[in-house]
Amino acid sequence: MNDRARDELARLREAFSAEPWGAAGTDCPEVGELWASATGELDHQADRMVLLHLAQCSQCASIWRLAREMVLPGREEATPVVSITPKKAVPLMRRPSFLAAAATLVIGLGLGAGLLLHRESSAPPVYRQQRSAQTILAAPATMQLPRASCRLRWSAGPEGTRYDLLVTDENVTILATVKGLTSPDYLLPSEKIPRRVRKILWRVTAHLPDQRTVVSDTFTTRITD
Amino acid sequence: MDFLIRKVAAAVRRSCPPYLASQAEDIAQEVLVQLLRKLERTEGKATFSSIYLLKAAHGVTVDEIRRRSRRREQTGLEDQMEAHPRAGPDPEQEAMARSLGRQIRRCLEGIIASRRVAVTLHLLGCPVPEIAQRLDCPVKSADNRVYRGMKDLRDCLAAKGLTP
Repeated sequence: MNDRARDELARLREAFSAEPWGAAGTDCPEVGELWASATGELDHQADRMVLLHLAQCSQCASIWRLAREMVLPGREEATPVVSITPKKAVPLMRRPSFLAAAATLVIGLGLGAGLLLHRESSAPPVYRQQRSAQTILAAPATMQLPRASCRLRWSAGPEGTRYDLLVTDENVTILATVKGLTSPDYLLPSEKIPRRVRKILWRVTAHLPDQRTVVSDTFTTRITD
Repeated sequence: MDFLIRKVAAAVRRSCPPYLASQAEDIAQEVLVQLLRKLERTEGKATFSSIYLLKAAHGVTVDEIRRRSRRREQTGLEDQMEAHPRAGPDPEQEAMARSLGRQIRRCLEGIIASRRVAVTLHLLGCPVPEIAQRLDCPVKSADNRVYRGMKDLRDCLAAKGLTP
């Protein structure tokens, strides 16, 4: 593509999303459905209906694009926004709506979220601004895989890297945990994928030769029969 | 708690356009409240994946943008920076872009559906391999649909006297 064609495409893309946001129209899909389309969670027929709507609706197109950009691997923040650190969150806790929910938090986190915290405590989250060349990306071909041959692939680390893999279904029920993989791929046995499961979520933890640990984003793979 | 706040803040940083930076804390708080409500419904058994947090942040951010847009319409205040994350500072350019956008949509109506979907994805920034995957067709076929659809679009705009 030459410079002129590139400029033309940039102008068309900008114009396509130039309308200001307003209230949703009566025929607009729910925001959740737009999210599902943008992140590849819808089946082809439903996805096509959403995409045909996007051709006519600037606002839904903007919502869809925001969702897609959020889940794109390697997306950087366009402009820094205010930092929300635990220290900044202190005044947040004084607000009425937060206080109303705080009681639930004490019980809720104590009962169940502790499991989540415990599970992830050994793998601190990797934030966009902390990303390095060691960021783990899912292979594009893994957006959709057949149940009988569900081989998950991701970008390789330096030689000697070991990978741990966690696979869950949409309800975050664990389907498989594998530790110490030496190659950046894993064939998920079909018997580990219940028939009802149409989508799996998976995450890779890479243990680099220099003792560092890199945790990937959570990737989504649609399962076909 | 700190862990959850950090995770939510990271999700909001991805969803929040620059002009909503001052609302980022409020958006994060609303996301947290939603998570807590879910915990309450599930008696503390819910767990939150990264993708779930992103989805929640996306939904709350969209609600906030719509709220601001409604306020702007009701008060009649014109704030170009609030209009859209990609809104330019020049009102004339912005008006021209909106006008061109409306013409693009009218032209898309006249393009056959298979090409229309491909062009829409192209205009939304999707590369051809991704378009092929979404349309469940070979890359060559997707490339062909984008090429022909974009030609249809250019011809339609040219017939209206518009040259992008």
